[in-house]
Amino acid sequence: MRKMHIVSMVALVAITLSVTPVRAEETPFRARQAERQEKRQESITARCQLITDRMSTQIARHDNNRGLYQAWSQQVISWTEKVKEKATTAGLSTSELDADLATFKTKLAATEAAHQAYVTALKETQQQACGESDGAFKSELSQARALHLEMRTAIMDLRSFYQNELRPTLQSLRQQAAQEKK
Amino acid sequence: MPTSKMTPLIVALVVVVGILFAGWQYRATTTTSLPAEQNATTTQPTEIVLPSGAGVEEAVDSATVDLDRGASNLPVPAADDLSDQNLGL
Repeated sequence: MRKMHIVSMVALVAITLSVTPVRAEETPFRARQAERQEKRQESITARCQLITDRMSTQIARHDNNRGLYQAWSQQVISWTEKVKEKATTAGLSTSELDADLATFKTKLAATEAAHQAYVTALKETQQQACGESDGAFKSELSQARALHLEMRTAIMDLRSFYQNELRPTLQSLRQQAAQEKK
Repeated sequence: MPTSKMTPLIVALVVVVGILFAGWQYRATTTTSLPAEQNATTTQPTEIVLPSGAGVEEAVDSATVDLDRGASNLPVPAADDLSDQNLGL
């Protein structure tokens, strides 16, 4: 029994001695780990603040732009309807104008949808910028970039449709009206 | 100066300070409600007005002048809006 007691004591001392250096080594490792974690958290906080500010500016700017192209598009629709009314009174065919107006409205709806999708993606990106995952943030940003390109293309398409299709149709009706007068 | 004579003076001073503070508060809340960019432009479409008796030619001329001007002022987003550089990444 006494032998057993001595063996137990020796074993206990041996275990204590063997564990002590490991614990001593663990302390700086954990400190470094905590430091790295703290730095990472600081970096996420900084990114979150920066991206939140930039994205808010982008959202405000694009909402403002949206108001401008909506107002202009509304003018296009109103003017086209006014010209149509005058042309119908003058007995001119407005089928081409009708088709152009329908196409313009379709393009306007597409621009609206593209704008909405882009702003939603910007808000998602803004949220991910404040999250832990770098991958999720980059993925959202990449999607927002693709939608930004689509929205830009849609706005340019809308303008170019007026300049290259609708405007010539209006001018053609003007010429027809002038010829009718002669 | 006796205290009874100072009382109206103090009351007047408090009222003046109160009015100034209220004015400053009102100005602060009304001028910071929107970002500068949003204040810069109006988005209301202008009303279409044609002289009575105007025909197709006058309507088209007025329409193209108005719409051309709008088209040239239409803001197209810059291609690099979301570049790493613009986002400060």
